[in-house]
Amino acid sequence: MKRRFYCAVMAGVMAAAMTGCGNTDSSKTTVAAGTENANVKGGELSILAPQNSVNDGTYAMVDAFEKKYGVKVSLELLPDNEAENLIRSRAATGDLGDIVDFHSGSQLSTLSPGDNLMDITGEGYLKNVDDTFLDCVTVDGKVYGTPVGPTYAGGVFYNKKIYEELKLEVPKTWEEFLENCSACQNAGYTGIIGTYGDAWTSQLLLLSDFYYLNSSEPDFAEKYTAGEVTLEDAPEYLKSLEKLAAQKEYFNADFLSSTNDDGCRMLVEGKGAHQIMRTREYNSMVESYPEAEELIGFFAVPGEDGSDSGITVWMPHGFYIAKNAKNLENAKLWQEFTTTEEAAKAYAAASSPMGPFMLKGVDLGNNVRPAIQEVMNYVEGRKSAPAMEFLCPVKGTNMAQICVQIGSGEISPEDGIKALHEDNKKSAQQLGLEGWK
Amino acid sequence: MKRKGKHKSIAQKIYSRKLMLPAAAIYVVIFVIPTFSSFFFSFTRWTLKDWEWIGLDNFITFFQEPSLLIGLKNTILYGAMTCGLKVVIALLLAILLTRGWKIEGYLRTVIFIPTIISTIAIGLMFKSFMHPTNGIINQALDQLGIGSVFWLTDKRLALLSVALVDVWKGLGVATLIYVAGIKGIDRTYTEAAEIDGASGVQRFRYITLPLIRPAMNSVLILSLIGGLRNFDLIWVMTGGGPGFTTDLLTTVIYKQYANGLYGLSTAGNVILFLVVALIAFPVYYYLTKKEEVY
Repeated sequence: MKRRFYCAVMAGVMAAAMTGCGNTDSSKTTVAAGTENANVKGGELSILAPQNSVNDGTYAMVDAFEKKYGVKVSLELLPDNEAENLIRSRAATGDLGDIVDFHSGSQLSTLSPGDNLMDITGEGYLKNVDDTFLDCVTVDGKVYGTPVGPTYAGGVFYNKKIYEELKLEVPKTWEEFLENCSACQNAGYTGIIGTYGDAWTSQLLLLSDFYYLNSSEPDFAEKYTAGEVTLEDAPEYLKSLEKLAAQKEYFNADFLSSTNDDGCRMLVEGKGAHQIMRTREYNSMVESYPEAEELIGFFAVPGEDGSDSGITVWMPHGFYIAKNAKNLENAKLWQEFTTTEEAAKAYAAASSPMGPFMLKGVDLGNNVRPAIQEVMNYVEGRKSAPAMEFLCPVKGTNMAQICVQIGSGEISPEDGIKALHEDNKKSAQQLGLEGWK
Repeated sequence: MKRKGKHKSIAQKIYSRKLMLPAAAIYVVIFVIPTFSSFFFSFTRWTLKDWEWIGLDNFITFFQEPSLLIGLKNTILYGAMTCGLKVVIALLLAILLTRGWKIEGYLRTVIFIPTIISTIAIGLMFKSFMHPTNGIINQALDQLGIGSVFWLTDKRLALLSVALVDVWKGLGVATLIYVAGIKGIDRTYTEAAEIDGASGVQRFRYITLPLIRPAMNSVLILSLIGGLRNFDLIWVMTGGGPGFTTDLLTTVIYKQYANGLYGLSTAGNVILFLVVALIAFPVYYYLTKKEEVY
C-alpha cells in the first residue's frame, strides 16, 4: 500500500517536471517577431563553424542579421582540432545544416564542393566581393562562398618594451633579426617564442615567408599545381626552411610543449621578445590581454637582403551553403548579408579587424589597432602576397608535423623539403590532379 | 527428425541451431563483412563517392615513408614495454597483497581505482604533470636538484613516459587477476613445502609461479593486445608528436583518415590487424601449450 502511494507521488512529480520543460521556445519567437521591419523573413538558419573561426565580430554579424530579418540563427561550434574532420564527415552524411564555415583556397576541395555545396555562381550579391577572394572559393569554375570576415596576415609580433629597453630597431634583414634575438637572449629574455605544443603554429614562419618565393618566381604556384616542378626547384623554398631551422637556437626551453596561448602570455608578460604568428591569433590575444594593444608591434618576416620586405595574407574562411540546406532562402540571405558594408561595420565595431575586408569599397573604420595599422601599411604599399594555399590547391596534410621536425632540428631542411613534397604528392593524388600521377 | 537422437545432448534437443541465426546475422554484417571489405579497399584509393584500384601502392607507401613506418616500430615497442612492465610489476604487487595483512582489502581497492577513471582524464592529468616547466613532476625534481626532464618531448623518453602512464592505469586489473590466481593455489602445497624446509623464494619459484601460469597468461595476452591497440592515451598525451616520434599504428591510421586519405588509412588498419594477429596468436598458443594442469 505504502509503495503504491510513493509510486504515484513520483509519477506525479515527474509529470509536473516534464510539463515545465516544454514551453521555452515560444517566448523566443515572440521576441524575434517583435523586432521587425519591412524585411521580415522569419524562419530559422543553422550555421556550423569551427571554434576558432568565430569571434566577437561574428557574433555581432549574427545579431545584426537576426534583428534585420527576424530569422532565428543557431550557431553550432566545433572543437578546433577536429573541426575539419567533423565537417567532412557531416558533409558525407548530408548533415551540414544550412550554412557551413570552412576554408577557402586549396583546402576547400577536400570538402568535395561539387557534391556537397550549393553552387552560387551568378548570384547578384557576389558583385560586392573582391575578385581575389572569389578565386579562392571557386572550384571547377563554380563559385561557392562569401567571406566570413577580414583577411589576416602573418609575420613577427614583437614586444615593444623589450625593444625600447635594449634599444633595438625593427630588423630589415633576416640576419639583423637573428642578431636582435641574440641580444634578447643575452639580456635574459627568450629570443623567439616557440609554441610547437600546437603543432600548426610551426608552419606559420614557412607560410609567411612565401612572399619572397612569390616575388622571385610569380608563376611557381601555377607550375607546381600542374605537377611540372618540385619544391626543390625553388631555391627560395629551401631558404624558408633554413629560416625555420635557424629558430631553434633562440627558442624557449619548453617550446615543444608550449601552446599558442602560452606563447601569447609569454609575449605580453615580457618573457619573450618575438612570436611569429598571424593577426588572427593576435586579435584573440588582445581580447584576453587588452594591454597587448599598445605593447605589441608587428613587422614582416625579413628577407635575405634589405631590398624588399612583404607579408603573406591569408584569405578568410568562406560561408558555404549545404546542397541539401533546408532553409535555402535564409541561407542565401545570410550570404548576401555578409557581403554588405553593414555587416562589415558590425564586425569591425565588435572586433577590431585583423586585416582588410574582402569586400569592395569597405574601409576599416577608426577602430584599428596599432599592430594592424602596421599590417595595413604593407597591404597598401602592395607588399603582400596570398599564402600559397590560396594560389595552389596542393597542400599536404602533414606539413605541421614536418615543420615541427625541421624546427626542432630532428631533420635537416634538405630532408624536410623532400618530405614536404612527398606529403603534397599524396594529397594531390587523392584530389586526382593531373600531372601528379 | 534425426536418427542419431541418442547422441544428442539435452541442450541440443531443446534448442535448434537456427536460434543462433539472428545473432549470427548481426555478427556477420557488423564484423565479418566490414573486415573483408576493408581488406578489399586497402588495395584502392577511395573517396566517399568512388574508388580506384591501385594494388599494393598503399602498403608500399606505408613501408617506405618514415613517418608511417615509425608507427609500426613504435607499436611493437609500446606493446612490449607495457606488457612486460605490467606482467612483472602486477605479480610483485599481487604477492604483497596476499600476505594476509589487514589492510589488503583497502590497498586492492586503491590499486584498482585507476582502471575505472576515464583514460582521457588520466592522459590529460599526466600531460599537465609532465609539462617541462609548469608540471609538478619537474617542479619536484627541481627541489631535489635534478634539472628539467622533457618527459613528453624528448625523443628517447616520450614513448616510455606514455607507457608508464598506461602501466599505472592497467596495474589494477592485472593485479586482480594475479591475486585471484594466487588465492586459487591449494594451501596444502605451500604447507607441505614449508614443512620440508623450503624458503620463501623457493616456494615462490617452484610452487606459486608454475601454478599461477594461467593467470599470468591471461595478463600477458590482455596487456599485449591492449598495448598494441592503444590509441586514446597516446593521442591525448602527445598526439603522435612531437613531429612523428610517438606515432603508433593507431594514431597513424587516425591521422590518415582525418586527412581524407581513406585508402591509406584502411591499409593501416589491415596492417594493424595482421600485426596483432601475428603476435597474439602464436604467443597465445605457445603459452597455453605450456600451461600445466594439476
